[in-house]
Amino acid sequence: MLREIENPFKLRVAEIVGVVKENEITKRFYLRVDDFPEFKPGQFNMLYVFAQGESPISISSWRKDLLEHTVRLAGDITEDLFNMKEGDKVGVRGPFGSHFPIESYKGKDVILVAGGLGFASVKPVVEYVCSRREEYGKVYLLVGARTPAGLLYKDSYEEWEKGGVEVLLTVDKPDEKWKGHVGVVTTLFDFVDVDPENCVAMMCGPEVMMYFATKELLKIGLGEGDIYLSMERHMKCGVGTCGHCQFGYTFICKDGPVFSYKDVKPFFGLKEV
Amino acid sequence: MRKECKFVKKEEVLKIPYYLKEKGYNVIAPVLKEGVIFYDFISSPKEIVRNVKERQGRGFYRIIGESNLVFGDFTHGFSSPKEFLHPPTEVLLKLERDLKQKFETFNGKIAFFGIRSCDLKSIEILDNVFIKKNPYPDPFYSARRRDNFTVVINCVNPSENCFCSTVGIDPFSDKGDISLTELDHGFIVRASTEIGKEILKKLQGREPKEEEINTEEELKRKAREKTRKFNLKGIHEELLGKIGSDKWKEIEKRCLGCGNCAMVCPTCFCYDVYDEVNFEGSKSERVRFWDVCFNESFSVIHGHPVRKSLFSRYRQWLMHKFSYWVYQFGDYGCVGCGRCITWCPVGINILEEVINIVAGD
Repeated sequence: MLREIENPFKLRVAEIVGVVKENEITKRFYLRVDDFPEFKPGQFNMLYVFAQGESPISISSWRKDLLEHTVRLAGDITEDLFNMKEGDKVGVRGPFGSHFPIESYKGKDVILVAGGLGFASVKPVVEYVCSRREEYGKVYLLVGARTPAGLLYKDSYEEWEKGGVEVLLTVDKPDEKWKGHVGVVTTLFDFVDVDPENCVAMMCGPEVMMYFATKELLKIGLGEGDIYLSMERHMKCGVGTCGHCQFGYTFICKDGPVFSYKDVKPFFGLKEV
Repeated sequence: MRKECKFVKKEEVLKIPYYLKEKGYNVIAPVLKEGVIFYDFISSPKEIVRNVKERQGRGFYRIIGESNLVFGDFTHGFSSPKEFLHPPTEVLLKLERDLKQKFETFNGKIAFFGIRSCDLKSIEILDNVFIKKNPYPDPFYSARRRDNFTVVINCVNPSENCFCSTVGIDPFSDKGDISLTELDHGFIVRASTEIGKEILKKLQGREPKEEEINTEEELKRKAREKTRKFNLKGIHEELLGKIGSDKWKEIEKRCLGCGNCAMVCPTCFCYDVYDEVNFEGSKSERVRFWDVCFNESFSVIHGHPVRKSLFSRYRQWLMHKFSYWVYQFGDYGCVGCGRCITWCPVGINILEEVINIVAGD
C-alpha cells in the first residue's frame, strides 16, 4: 500500500520557450511543460537547475498554454536561471500552496496591491479578473516599486486599463523621466474609492509594505478575513517537511503562501519570527 | 486487542531480538560505545548494552558503573528512532544532465528493541509530520516506517533530565508491540499485537504474581512522579502571547547557537537539500540532510536572513516545540526525553526557559 506513495521530489521537465527582460535583474520566462496540472492565481512552483538546486518561484500568469515565471537575481540558483536561454531545460515541481480566492468574491470591489517582485504573484489575479470583468465591482491595481525601472509588466498596463482595471503606479525614487506618483504604495489608497463592506484586498510585496497596506485597509473598513497577503520565505521542499519556511505556526509552503490577515494576525509584523 | 502478559527470567528477554531476526527484521537496539549509549543496528543480542548505570545532568552524560538491573539503570543516549526513520542524510532523487530521474526507497523492515516510551511517542509525532498530517506523504520516511516492530522498555529509573509526564507521556507505555518492565528478579512482558503475542508465546515464563504486579504499579507511580515537573496546560496559547517579550533576549547570554539540542531532539525534523554532483558534472543527486533553525541561513528571504539575532532563533525553536507544533500537528513537539538538556554544552534546560518566559515580565 505504502509503495504507491508518489515521490513529491520528482521533477517535470520544462523547456524554456521564451524569455522577456523586465529590467537589469528581472526576467520573465515562458516554460513548456507537458500535462502540467491545474493551478490557481497565487500558487508557486519549485524550479530546479541541474546540479545547482531548487528555488520557489511564483507562477506569474494565469495563461494555461505555457507556464510563466518571473525571476529576479537573488542567489546562486536564480542567477543560473537568469542566465538560461530558449531551448534550455529546467525541472519543475508544483503547483504548490494556497491561492488568492478571487473566485469567492464575485460581485465585490477588488483592491490588488503589488510591491516590487511581489507583483509576480498578484498578476495572475489581475488577468483572472480581466477575463471575467463583469463579475466584479470596481477593480484597483496599486503597484509600487523602488524605481521606475523596478515596475514590472509595463507592457500589460494598457490592456488591463482597457479591461476595466484602474492601474495606479508609484515609485519611491523617481528619475528625470518619471511624471507619475511618488511615495510608498500606501499613499495610493487616497485614490481608492470602494464599498468597504463589499470589498476584498489581495497583495504581495515586502512584509513591511504589506504590514502598512493592511493597516490602511483596516482603516478603510475592510474585514480581517477579506484581506489576503502572500508571504515569502525560502523553501527547500515545498511540501511541509523541510521546515525552512515556517512563519509562526504556519508553513508558508502548504498553509500559504496566501493567507488571510486573520490567519497570521498573532505574529504578522513582528520582527524575526 | 487484548494484552497478554508473562513474567520471565532476565536472560529470557534477550531472546526477543533473535526471534525478530528470524522474522526478517533489521533489529535496532541500544549499544554502548565510547562511553555513550546509542541505538544501532545489531547482528547479535550480545551487542546490546546491559547492566550499566548511567547519569545524566545539565550538559552531562556519564556511564558511572555497573548495575544489577539489565536495562533499568539507564534511559537513552543522544540517538533516537529519528536517526533510522528520517536519517541524517537521504538521497531523494538521482538525476542526469537531461533531467532523467530515478530514486529508491528503503527496502526492509525495522524492529526497535529497547526504545523508551518517549521514543515511541516521537515516532507517532514524526508520522504526523511526514505522513498523516501532510498532503504530500513522504515516500522515504514511509518506506522506513513500514512494518516496524517496537519493544518498549518501561523506565523504572528516569534520569534527572526526564520530564515525559510533564508533556503528557507516561514513562510506562502499553503502545508498543511488546513492553518490558524490569523488576529485581525478572521482567513483566506484555504483548498487544499478533506478532508480539507470537513472540511472547515462545518466551519461557509464568503468570505474574499479584505482588509483582503491585511492585510494577509502585515503580510506575514513582517514575510518573519523578517526571512530572510543571503544569503545561494551555502553554501553547500563553507562549503565543509572549512572542514579543523582552525575556527572550536573556537566553543570548548562555545559548551558543550550536544546534545540538535540535540534532538530538527525537522530533526535530527540519532538513536542507543540496546537489551532490559527480566529478564529470554529468550526474547529480538531490540529498536531504538534517538542518537546524539555529543556523542563520535557515530562514531567508531573497538571500537575507530573517532571524538575525540568536535569541530569535532560540525563540523559534522553543516556540515550535511548545506552541506552534500544537497548532500544526495537535501535539507538543517535545516528548520530555531531556536529550536537549543533557547534550547542551552549557546545560540550558528547555522547561526552565518555558517557565521563565510565561512567568510574567
